[in-house]
Parts: sequence; structure tokens; C-alpha cells
Amino acid sequence: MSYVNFLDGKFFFTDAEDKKIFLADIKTSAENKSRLHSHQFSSRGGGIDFPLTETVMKFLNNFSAQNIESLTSVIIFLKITSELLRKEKIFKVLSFGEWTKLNSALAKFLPEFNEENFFYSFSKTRPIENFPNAKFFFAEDDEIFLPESKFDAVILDRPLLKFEILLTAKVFGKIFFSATKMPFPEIFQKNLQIFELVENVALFELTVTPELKKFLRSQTFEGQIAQKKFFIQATVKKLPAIFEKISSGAEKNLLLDNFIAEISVAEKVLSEIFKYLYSDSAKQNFNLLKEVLIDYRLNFCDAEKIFTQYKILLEDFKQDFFAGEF
Amino acid sequence: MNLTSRKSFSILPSGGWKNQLLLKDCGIIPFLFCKNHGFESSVLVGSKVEGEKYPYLEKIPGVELDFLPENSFQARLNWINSNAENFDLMILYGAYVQYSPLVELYKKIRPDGKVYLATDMNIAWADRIEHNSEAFQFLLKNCDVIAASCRKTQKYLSAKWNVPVELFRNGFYNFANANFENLFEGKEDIILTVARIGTFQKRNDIMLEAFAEIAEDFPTWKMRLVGSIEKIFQPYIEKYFERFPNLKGRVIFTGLIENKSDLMKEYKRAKIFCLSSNFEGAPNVAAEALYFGNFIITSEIDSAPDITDNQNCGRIFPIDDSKSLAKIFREVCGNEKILLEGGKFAFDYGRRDFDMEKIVARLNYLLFGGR
Repeated sequence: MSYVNFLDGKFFFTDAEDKKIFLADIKTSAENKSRLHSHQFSSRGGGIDFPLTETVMKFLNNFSAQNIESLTSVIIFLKITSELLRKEKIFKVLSFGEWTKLNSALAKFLPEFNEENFFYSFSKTRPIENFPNAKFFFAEDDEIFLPESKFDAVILDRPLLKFEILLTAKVFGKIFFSATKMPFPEIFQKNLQIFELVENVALFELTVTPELKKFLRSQTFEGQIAQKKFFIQATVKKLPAIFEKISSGAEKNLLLDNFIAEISVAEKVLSEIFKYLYSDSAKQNFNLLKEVLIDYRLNFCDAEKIFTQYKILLEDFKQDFFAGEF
Repeated sequence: MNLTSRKSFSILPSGGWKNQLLLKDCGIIPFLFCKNHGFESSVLVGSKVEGEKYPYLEKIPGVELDFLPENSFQARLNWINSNAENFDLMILYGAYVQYSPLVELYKKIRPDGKVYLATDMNIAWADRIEHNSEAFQFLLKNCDVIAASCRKTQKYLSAKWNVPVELFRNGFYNFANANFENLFEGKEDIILTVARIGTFQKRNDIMLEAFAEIAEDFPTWKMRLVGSIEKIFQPYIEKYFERFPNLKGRVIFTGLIENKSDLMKEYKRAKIFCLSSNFEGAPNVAAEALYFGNFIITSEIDSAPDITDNQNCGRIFPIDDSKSLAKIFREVCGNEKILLEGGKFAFDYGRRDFDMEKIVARLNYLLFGGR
């Protein structure tokens, strides 16, 4: 049976195979590099426990760690506590799913560190109790448009929702979800801390590293559009270098054949995404560039025509492609 | 020349080939693939057209006709099933969704084979197509090159269809070995049109009414209408000459001129070429007129900016508006400078952008990388 224990001011999770995972240190500021002192000293010089320990204990007492749900809550609560102790920054937590005891604990606990800390809940249910530092939203998953990199911790009520939701976590933010153990892509696997609760069920803590963030972005719809835009832009930007090589005597036809082949591929990619672009003439102007390149390759026009069209295309692209890049 | 020994075939979604089509892009493109790009042969597949003879076939060596046993869709599938393996290129004319199963079968037999779809359509046609339907999307995605025949339609289709759309104009090839020397010295005060005269599409009544309005002020000018005359138009012609008896001898209906050399002479004589259609894709006659240095006056069809090079070598008037056309006649018929400069511009522009040999070279490059 897995459990959480408290030893010398530190919390640990121990799984059924006796593997220990550190959760939080609420005792010494030196060890946890906390901005908060874990001890106060009485006027008579003797050390007494800082009220934080009591506060944490009080919250933990609300959870009865007799089942998986409460064990999960304890772990998440302590992991967030550990973060709060280590971070000077304003801390924001986002939670999806039914309102739980954990939500109540966090909504109450967060402002004890800083009054600007907030707890955000996407839930069909609301607590009766009033939490000044909690905000509530209701929306179906597909309708949710949340800001990217806004939250320090995201608690999911089901395994890995949409990539867009995972992106709401800041870089080095944490995403918590419990689920039946399953194979994850390698990039997830290496950023996962797994708390084995019972056989086959675990709590997963995913750290959003910069690398993972980049991957998540690339997997979103917008990310895929951005990747395609980048490819198109990079292809078009090769043009001046190609003509520099041609003017310095490189094999014109071979260079042009290869470049036109690349441009043709980029045009197909552009055709896939053109309806998401601001400009409704970018696709046509891209085709015109290809047209004059072919005409030049076949000796039907001079290079000047290409550069005229290139300028028109760049001007057109300005609205849709990365600002300042052109 | 790199001889490739490729073969192409064109197949119609229904019906058969007519002789007249052979000297339009349907015949010229496969012919020029053979002439200039090493194709061994090009086959036009369709059902027999009763009574049709093909004298133009001898002008396009390398191009052959293959008649289907019956005019059915199954016959077309059977032909592809039996022959496609030997063909490197499938050429399709018109954006017909019925082509989808034919393309599917061809690509199944020849996954490396190329498909060229020449839409040659106007915007009104494009708007009638359910372009997001599964079958049409299949067609679009499986054609290697898709082309419009004028810039305006290309732009329109480009913004509507999720595939690249090229521009391949309906150009000119000098089958008649016409001589262009001293072209502008022998021109007469003639407004020419070449079409099936009197169809609803061509609206020849518009140009006739406009000419009647200005004829008295420009007595040296004549109008020549070349082409077979629709029966339905005969009563109009009779009434026209009743209303304007003085125009007998100045408005001339030549009838159909099948001999290409004789037809080219008509273009050569004319200063102005006029189109008054209600709608058009990109008419082949425009390329012929440009080649012969005609000043182009056209109604506002989709290809109007293209065939006048945005009015550098012509004028555009609103569809169904004989008054506006008369105003243009009045402006240009009395101004030799406009006609000569515009005609010379047309001459150069035609050779630059409507040369069928250049057009097919571009197409060959897109399909086969010029190899």
C-alpha cells in the first residue's frame, strides 16, 4: 500500500514497492531555499515551529488518505506547497473537473503566501463556501480558449486533455493528472514523475520543460500552421542566395530546377493553410513567383521580373508571416 | 532535345471530339508535347461523332484519335483499364467531377503517371461546382497540375480551391504558316469578330447595334462577322438590314471559314477585333487577334483584362451595353494613333504571353521538370 509520511519536517511518498519520492520540506528555509522562515525564535531564544507547519497539517488533516482520491490530493497539495515555498513569484493554479476538497484547500491556502495568488476552476460545480482568491468558469473543453503560459500548476481530472490546455502551464510549471498507467510519447516520459498509487493506477506530474513546450506548441493547430508558415518563409528567403550563386557562375539550370522544386512543395503547403491567412492574395502571388522562376529557367524572361514579384510577395507576406522577419 | 518517348491521352467525360477542337488547346497541347518535348504519341479518346470528319488531324502529327465502342462511362473506365499502363500523362479538359473515378483508376494503374486538368472555365461555372465535395476534392488532390485560362479566373480559383492553380492561357500556334511581315501596312478599317454568330452567348446583336450607331460618322469602316450563323439569328439579321439598308455591304457575314489560311487573312486585314459575349472562359480567337496586331474591344468577360492586357491593347465595355460599345468605337475608329499603338502592343504581347509553344514548355516543365 502506498502512503505519505512526515519525517523531520519533510513529506515523502512511499509506493507499494517501498520506493520513496520527496514531496515537500516545510521545516528549514536553508534546505528548501524558501523565502519564508520555517522557524521563529521566541524572545527567550528557544525555537518554536513556524505556523506554516501547523497550517499545512491542518489542511492535510482534511484529507483522509484512505483512498486513491485523497492520496492523490495529498500529493498534489504537498507538491504545490513545495513550489510555494521555493518560489517568490505569484502563483496561479488552474483546475479542471468537479470541485473537490483539494480545490477548497488550495483556494484557501494560496493567498496565505501572497494575496495575488489565485485559484481558477473550470467546473460544473461550485463550492458553497466563499473563496476570495478563487475564480470560477464553466465551458465545454472544446470551447475553452485559455491564455498560454499563465499557470504554475494545472490539475486535470482526466489524462492529458488537448495540447492547448497543457500549454496553459508556464515553462517549468506542473501538470497533474491521475490515470491508468499507459505508454506516453518519449518527450512526455522523460518529464514525468510517476507516483504509483495502486496497481496500474498512478498520479502523474508532468514538468513543462522548454523542450516540451515547443513540442506542445507544434502539436496544436496553431502550432502546425506556424510550422508550415516557417517552412514557406524559409523556402522563399533562399531566393536571393540562389541568385547570388547564379551571378557568381554556379550552374544556373541545376540551381533553379532544385529551387523551383522546393518552391513547388512550399506552394502545396501554402495551399493547405491559405484559408487561415489574413492575405487572400498570398497564394496567388506565390504562384506568380513560381511562374516567373519557370519563365526565367526557360529563358522566357529576365531576372528582374523575378525580383519584382519577390518584392510583391514579401510585401504580401508581411501581414501573415513573422513580423520583422522580412 | 531530350527524347523521352512519353505518351499522353485525353479523355472526354462524355461525347466525342469534333474536328474544330483539334486546332484548339485540346489538340495543340498534345501535338506540341510530341513536336517539342519528345512525346511519342498523344491519343484523344472519345466516342464517335456521327458524320464528323477530321481534316485538322493531319496538322497535328503525333496526335491520334481512338474511338470508344459506345458513349458510356463504363466504356471510358474500360479504356483506361486496358490502356493506361502505357500512358505517362492524362490530360483533362473542364473541371468535371465525373473525372474523379477515371483519375482514380488511372492513378491506381500508373501511380507515377501525371494528370493535367485544364479547367478553361469561367467564374460562373466555378461557382456552380461543389468544390468541397469528397469527389471533387479527390479530383483536385490527384491532379498534378491544375490550370485556369485567364488571370482573373486563376485568382478566383486560387482563393477558393485548396490546391495550386496555374495559369495557362489559350494561346496561338501558327498552323497556317501565316506571314506577319508588313502587318500594319496592309490593315483596313475593319471590325472583325470570329465566332458561332448569333448564339445567346456571343451576343453579336450588341456589336451590330453599336456599329449601326456610329457607321454614318465613320463611312470607311466595315464590320465582318466570321463564323456559321445560328438559324435563330437569321430573322434578326433580316430586320437589321431592313432598319439599316445602308449597311448592306458594310456589315458582312462571311459564314464559316474552315481554311485556316483564309481565316488568318481576316485577322490580318482587320484593325479591330470585337467580342460582345455575355460570358466566356478565355476565347481562342483572342490569341489569334493579338498575334495579328488587332486592337481588342471586348465585353467584360472574365478574361477581358488578360486579352487586352488591362486595356493596353484594347478596351473593355460592360456586358449587354451597345451604347458603351458604340462610344468606344467612336473613340478609336477615328484615332489611328490609338489603333496603331494598341495593335503593335497586341502584336508583342501576343508573342510574349500567348505563344502556345512557350505555354506547353511551361506545362512540360511543371509536369516533368522540363525533362
